[in-house]
Amino acid sequence: MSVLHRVRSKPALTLSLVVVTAVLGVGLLFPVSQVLLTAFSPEGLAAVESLVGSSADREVVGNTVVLGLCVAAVGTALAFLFAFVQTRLDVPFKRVLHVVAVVPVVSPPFALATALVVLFGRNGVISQGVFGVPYDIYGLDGLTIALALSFFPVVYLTLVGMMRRLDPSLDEAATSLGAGRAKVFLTVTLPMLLPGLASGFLLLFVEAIADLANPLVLGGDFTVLSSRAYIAITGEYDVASGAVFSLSLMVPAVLVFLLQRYWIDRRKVFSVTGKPTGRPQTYRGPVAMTAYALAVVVALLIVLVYATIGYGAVTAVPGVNNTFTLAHFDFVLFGIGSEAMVDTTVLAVVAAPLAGLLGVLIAYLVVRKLPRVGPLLDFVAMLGIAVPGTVLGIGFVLAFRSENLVGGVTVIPSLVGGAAVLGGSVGIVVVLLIRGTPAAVRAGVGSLHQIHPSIDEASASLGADDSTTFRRITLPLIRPALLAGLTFAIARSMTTLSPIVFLTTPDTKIMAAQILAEVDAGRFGNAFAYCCVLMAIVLALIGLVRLAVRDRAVRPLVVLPAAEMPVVEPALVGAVKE
Amino acid sequence: MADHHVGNLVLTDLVKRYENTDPAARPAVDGVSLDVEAGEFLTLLGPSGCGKTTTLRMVAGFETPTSGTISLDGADMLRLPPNKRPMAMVFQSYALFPHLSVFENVAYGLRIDRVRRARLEEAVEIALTSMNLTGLGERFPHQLSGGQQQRVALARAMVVQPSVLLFDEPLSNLDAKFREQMRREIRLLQRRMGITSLYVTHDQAEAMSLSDRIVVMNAGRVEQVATPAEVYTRPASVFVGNFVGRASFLPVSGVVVRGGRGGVSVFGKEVEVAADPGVGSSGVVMVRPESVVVSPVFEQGCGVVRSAVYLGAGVDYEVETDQGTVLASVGDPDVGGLLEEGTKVGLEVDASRVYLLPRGGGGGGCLASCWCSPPLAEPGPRCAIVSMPCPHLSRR
Ligand SMILES: Nc1ncnc2c1ncn2[C@@H]1O[C@H](COP(=O)(O)OP(=O)(O)O)[C@@H](O)[C@H]1O
Ligand SMILES: [Mg+2]
Repeated sequence: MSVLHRVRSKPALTLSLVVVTAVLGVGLLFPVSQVLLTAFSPEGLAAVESLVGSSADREVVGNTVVLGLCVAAVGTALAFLFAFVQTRLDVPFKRVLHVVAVVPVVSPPFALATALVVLFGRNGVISQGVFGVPYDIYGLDGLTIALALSFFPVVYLTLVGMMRRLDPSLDEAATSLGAGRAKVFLTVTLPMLLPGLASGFLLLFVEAIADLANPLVLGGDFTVLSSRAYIAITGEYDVASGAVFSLSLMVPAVLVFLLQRYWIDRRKVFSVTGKPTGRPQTYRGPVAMTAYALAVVVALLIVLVYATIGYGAVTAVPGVNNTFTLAHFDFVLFGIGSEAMVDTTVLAVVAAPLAGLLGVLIAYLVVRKLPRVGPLLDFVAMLGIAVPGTVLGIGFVLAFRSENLVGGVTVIPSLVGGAAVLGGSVGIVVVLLIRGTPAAVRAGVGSLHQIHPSIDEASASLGADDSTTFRRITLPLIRPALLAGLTFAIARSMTTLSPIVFLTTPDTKIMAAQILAEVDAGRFGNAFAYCCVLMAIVLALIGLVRLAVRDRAVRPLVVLPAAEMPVVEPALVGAVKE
Repeated sequence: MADHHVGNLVLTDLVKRYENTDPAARPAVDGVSLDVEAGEFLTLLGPSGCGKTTTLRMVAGFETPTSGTISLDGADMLRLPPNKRPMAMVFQSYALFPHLSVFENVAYGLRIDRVRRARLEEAVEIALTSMNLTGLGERFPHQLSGGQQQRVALARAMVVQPSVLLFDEPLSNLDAKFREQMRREIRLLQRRMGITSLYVTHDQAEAMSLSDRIVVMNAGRVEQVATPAEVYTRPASVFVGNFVGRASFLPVSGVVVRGGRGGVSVFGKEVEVAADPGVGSSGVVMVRPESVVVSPVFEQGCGVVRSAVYLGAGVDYEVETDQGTVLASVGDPDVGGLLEEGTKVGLEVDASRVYLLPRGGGGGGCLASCWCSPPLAEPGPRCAIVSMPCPHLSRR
């Protein structure tokens, strides 16, 4: 069949492919390639030289790696601790622990860091105020705590899922073979969790080294690559160095991404016995109690941090002048600060549904329509999150500051900087779209794999074309995935900083960037008020989405209509014929 | 649309070689040609992996043939995507839309065709009633039993009045009792509506009871196309005779076939039997177990009972003879008179029920072992000619 014939026979498929390719090409591949080109330009190579030559810059690289390892280790340990308590201990307040552990997912990037500064900083409410020690949280220790607390919830949720799915009869089998509790744990449970732990570790490593917000607030003299790149671009106007610094972040990030995808994912251990039967045995004794105590302490710390945020938002100068005030909220909600609130919300509300839809569309193409190029498309879409935000942000600056011309005709107008269309909001929406899509792709791919292909075929066989089938069958069936993708995209769009901070203009203000400015200026109260408002908006939006997309009918999760019967071998058929 | 004169489906030299498979290996479907008459119920029967589903899916449009043509009433189907072909498929997994009610599932195809509301509701109600689903319209698929789900799937396919109905093992997920009932219902409904049907199954009893004609497939090729009775009594090959029902195959040589009949020796007796035109000087005699008479008296051929299995309605004997192991099925047995293992017995066969086949396909050797697995597992000894004193032969 000729290409033209295919295009004509499947207009919807062709159109969606064109859209997907265009978005990913323009929004992701083009800017990232600009970073690459800049890094390998003569200026870029000079920057590489100085990076290698300067001991200060070498230290930056070292710092980054050390920070990544610390966060990954602490974060994985925390995630495992909470998952273990949640699934294997019979203790009170597990539900509360769960909620507390998940809270950091919806919090803006500075909330934790700023609260830690207030509590444990040079004039910390606790360090100075309670203990009277001039403890300085700035640096590696503070960064590790802040980043680990910020990012461990995602790993925690994965591990809880894995541990719940582990078939308890495996533990029982090992026990009945004479293994004690500790032995069972070490020889059966832990090996099955290893892929989850390993991928959690890698994920945390990448998130930690790519993060920009926390190093800016908590870094102190401890400079890492992302903050170095930010300073190079915004302070020194040295785009080439910025490109080089951020690119050196991208190398490990993409390596880890590849490792994750092509190594760990293939090594996942599944218990093949089908539905878990029975309940996992619970652990008791001193070890279990120690784990519980640790989890409670960490949970208290998290509660303390969020209490600080709330308290700080209504306090004149937290820790110094503790008088009650609503001035901060007034500033954020009704004052000059409200601009950022409105802009951020509008942009997120535009970008998140697009990201959810685009992600689900890509998932549909990957799973159902494009058996051969599907994996490549999937890979490119996932790069949207694998590429560090700094790289994407710098890429946008490089690619879209001036308009893109082809043969003298404006193909893409300026999206970044003072002359950007709609005050740069188009560029921001595209970045949010690129960042929000991967989660929706994963959710969509996961749920599409649960829907038997014959459901689609039944629809086609009854006369429906591809787009009708997608609209009336596929989309309703993967609504939970769409919902998950949408929720995630909202949270991310509202709280993301690192790519956006390069794109904000005086016309388009973003809360995350405003919080950074307030923290920089030492106006913690305003920053905390922003954080509170931000979290409230995120939760409200998520609630609205759930209300709007609520399920009408009770439906089982499994979409396979009936178990596929194993085909009986003819030899056996012969033996049992009536 | 359900014009009873349409629905003539013709497949010509259909070949399907899946991508990513060994190009040296045989294609999944290897040159299948069929002519399904309008209104006919045709079944593709064969062991798993012989290419039935692939053939059906090519007709439906879900797979693209490597070569060959598919036409419906003279129109080339290969140019049309699945949704434009006037066919409807019933799936093994039912493939009901889990988020739609029973009513909406059945109405789905009509909505695609933009049928007016009043007519749509009427058509759906009629379809539900005819499938004994009255009153279940508001339910969701997961609230139905397997049998009910399958009825919805059937109603959903029939309501659009396709020119051709395609079935891929629709009953294999049902339990045995219910399967037989559904068989009858499908058959009745198909007769009444006169829709050309292409049905895939590996269950020979299903094929026999449903079909106007059966297509027996083996390794991607068609072995025989014939009515159920013909397939059973005059299989085109040892494979067919073997797959459809049980039979013993006794190698014979020095045969002379003339006018469709051949003289052969069965259980020591010279008989003239119906023969396949392709038989040369040597062939294989197919004996169905129910046409073998076993008696404790040695008037005819003889053998030794190797096993006796009491089945209630009958007894299955495995008898070792000079010509190989023979399966005999004796109906309505007298419990006291069961023959014990090791008993010497006489065997007799109704010559009009015996069929002479060419030797190919079965690979010669232990042909009689088709119906039970143990002899297959231990080749050789079982097939050796039993040398035992045979009073009848020595008397002669
Ligand atoms: N999608 C596929 N890709 C490669 N080989 C396939 C595919 N589907 C079926 N086959 C192979 O084609 C042959 C015929 O399969 P199928 O038509 O499903 O057989 P049946 O329905 O008779 O059991 C089998 O050998 C099977 O392994
Ligand atoms: Mg099949």
